Amino acid sequence: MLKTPLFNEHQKLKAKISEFAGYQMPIFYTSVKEEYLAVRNNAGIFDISHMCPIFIKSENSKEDIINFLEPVTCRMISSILPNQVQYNALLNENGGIIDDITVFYLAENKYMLIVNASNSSKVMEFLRKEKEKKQCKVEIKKPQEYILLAVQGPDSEKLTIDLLKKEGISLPDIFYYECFENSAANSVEVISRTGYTGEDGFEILLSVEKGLSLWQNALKSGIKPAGLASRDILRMEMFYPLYGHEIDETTSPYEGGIGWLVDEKDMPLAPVLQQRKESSQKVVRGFHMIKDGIPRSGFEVYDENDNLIGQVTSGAFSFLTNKGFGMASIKKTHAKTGSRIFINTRQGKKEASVLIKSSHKGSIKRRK
Amino acid sequence: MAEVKEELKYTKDHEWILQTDNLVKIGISDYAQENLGDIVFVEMPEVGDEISQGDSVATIESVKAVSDVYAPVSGKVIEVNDEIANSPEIINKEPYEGGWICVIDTQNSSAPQELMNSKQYEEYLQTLE
Repeated sequence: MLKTPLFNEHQKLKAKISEFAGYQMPIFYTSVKEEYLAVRNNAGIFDISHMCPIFIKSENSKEDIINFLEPVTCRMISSILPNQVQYNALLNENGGIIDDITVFYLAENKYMLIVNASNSSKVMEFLRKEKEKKQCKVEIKKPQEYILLAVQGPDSEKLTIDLLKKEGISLPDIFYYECFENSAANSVEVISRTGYTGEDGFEILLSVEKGLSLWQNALKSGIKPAGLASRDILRMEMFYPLYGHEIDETTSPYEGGIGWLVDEKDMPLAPVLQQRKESSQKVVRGFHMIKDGIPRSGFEVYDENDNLIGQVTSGAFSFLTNKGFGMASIKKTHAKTGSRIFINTRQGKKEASVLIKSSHKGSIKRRK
Repeated sequence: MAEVKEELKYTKDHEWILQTDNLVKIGISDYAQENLGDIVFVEMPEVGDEISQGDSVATIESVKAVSDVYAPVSGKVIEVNDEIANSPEIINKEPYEGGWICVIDTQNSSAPQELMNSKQYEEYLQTLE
């Protein structure tokens, strides 16, 4: 089993450790609810070093990189501005999702992808084969050692600036989905204002030495260490998909509920995706329980006439509403906000209401 | 380290049992509540339910997981802990006191089979670490 460089720190904190994507990861430290509330109301810090950065460089021009990535993604790489981050999906030739990724435009001729832990080997192999097949002049590289941290919550900005200062990094003004690479550093140093929680926050890629120091300073400054269980609830409340639950290689972005990513006119895979859009029967949607019942992944979903119309892909109990909620892959006929569906919970069929967009506003800071 | 109470008996599924003559009070152990995390809902049995050993007598839903409580004995449910319905987190706070789940009348006073005493349970927990 794999461990992140912070494994000993998690053990010191007596975290409940469990396997996730081949890694021994902290599920929670003291209480899922406390860690969740810290992120929604103040700030929490997550070790996300199981996720994998992949650098893509070219000696000639950024066109080499764009021409390499655009045929296997659904959103235009050429539209990313310098120091911007883009959420995108890596697709196979049938338009199925190999992984959902973030693409960083770090510098002229230099991009970075962050891919899911569970998919990192698969993605590396896919990219290498793609490069070979198309004779692309790009260099694909995974850093040997690194720590990736996420500081999340409405108080993140000031705390993160102070923490970075202690590591000798002065953070320029960046907003939601923007990034900064400290190119003067000897090892990887990339900071982005991104996250998976719906709150303001930063994801910080550093050397092991600096990452460990930042983690320890974060705890000293009162930022709560938060585990994967709270992270899962935070992302679910925003209806963000998780690979292996809402999306996988059999789902297109449309079926996975992230059809808004697709640049329909310009992408090489657009015709394939258009076909899948027309033929697809189901789509992933968020939902809230009307009264009681806690949905869990795999539970069946019915319509008002007791016809099976889908399956829950993620489910939990929301601390925002104190009710069950989740996401489900359901027939398009019931995909509108306000559609009534019934979840077959352990306590029987319980009524729920479909919601396309999360009702939680969050503290994200966009550039105006 | 999870707390283990000396006066109780335990199952491998982490239920605890307090037997007084033919009455058996049950709950889940400190280890169980720790591993479940924040408990948000408990489906309780009803007074009068006839239960066979090994049946699911209650369902505990934490934020992330769901877990059955299995009846360590057969008998009739004669009392349930109504406080849990309103504040299920009481199981997290006091698994051995306020967090008891129900009382089963076994209709005989012989000790249930295959239960661990506190020392055996502590040893069992160490094998799980």
